[in-house]
Amino acid sequence: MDSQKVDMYLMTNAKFFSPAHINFIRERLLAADDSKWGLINSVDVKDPTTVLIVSIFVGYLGIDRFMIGDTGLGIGKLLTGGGCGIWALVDWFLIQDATRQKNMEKLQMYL
Amino acid sequence: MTTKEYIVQPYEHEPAGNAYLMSTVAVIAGLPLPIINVIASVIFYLSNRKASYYVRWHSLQALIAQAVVMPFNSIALAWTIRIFFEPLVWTETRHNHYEAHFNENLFDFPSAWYFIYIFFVLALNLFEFIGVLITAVAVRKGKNVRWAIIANITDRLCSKENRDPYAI
Repeated sequence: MDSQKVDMYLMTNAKFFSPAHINFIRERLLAADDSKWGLINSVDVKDPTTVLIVSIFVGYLGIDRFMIGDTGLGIGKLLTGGGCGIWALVDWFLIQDATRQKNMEKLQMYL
Repeated sequence: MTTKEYIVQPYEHEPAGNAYLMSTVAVIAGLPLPIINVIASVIFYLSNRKASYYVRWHSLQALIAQAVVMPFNSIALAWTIRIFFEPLVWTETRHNHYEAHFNENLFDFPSAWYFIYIFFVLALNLFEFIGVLITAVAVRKGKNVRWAIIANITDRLCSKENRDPYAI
């Protein structure tokens, strides 16, 4: 893929991924075929900050986990009332990294 | 055999510091029950199993620090509950309750030992809480804080394996 396109993609979307994975994404995008550009742009990545806000307010219902695609964990959190509050509290500190990880998994399918 | 030196990346400071920050928040949230802090630290560590070595190491150190204090807190809580509920069990002997039980069981009434122990536990918790806060701030700034003894146990327990599937 054209390096200009890759740079443009990273400038727009770098905040949705872990800084540790940026080099990996860059290398894979450069090696990817141009025909994948449309697919890669259409990947639905979630904003970690938005998910953190959702986690703070309705984390005990598991909405944050549903949002990022962890349906199983979301149901578990919903049924236990956010693990009696403990899991919901721990997730305030974890959900941003979990969102970045999920974004990476989504993108990885097309790289 | 050669070992590769581990270089801590700047983006690792924040999640590593969060391990300690989370345990201070959990202390406030779960104050009456000491086990809650340990459960929160265990969940945090398990969720960070695939994180970098530095983040995993600090999650584990925070967990062990909580686990060390937990038995002292649990004993203090159990002793307090026993003192509160013990008179209800022996209502028929309430008139000479303290005299009767002085010789039977030291744990059934608020003795001087009880107050000494509670004072010791409070001091220990305060010391640990301040230590964790200082560590949280220092780790976030990039300083690798190692707690005496606990850090050596963490070294032994924490695997140096790189578990990130997207690492180059």
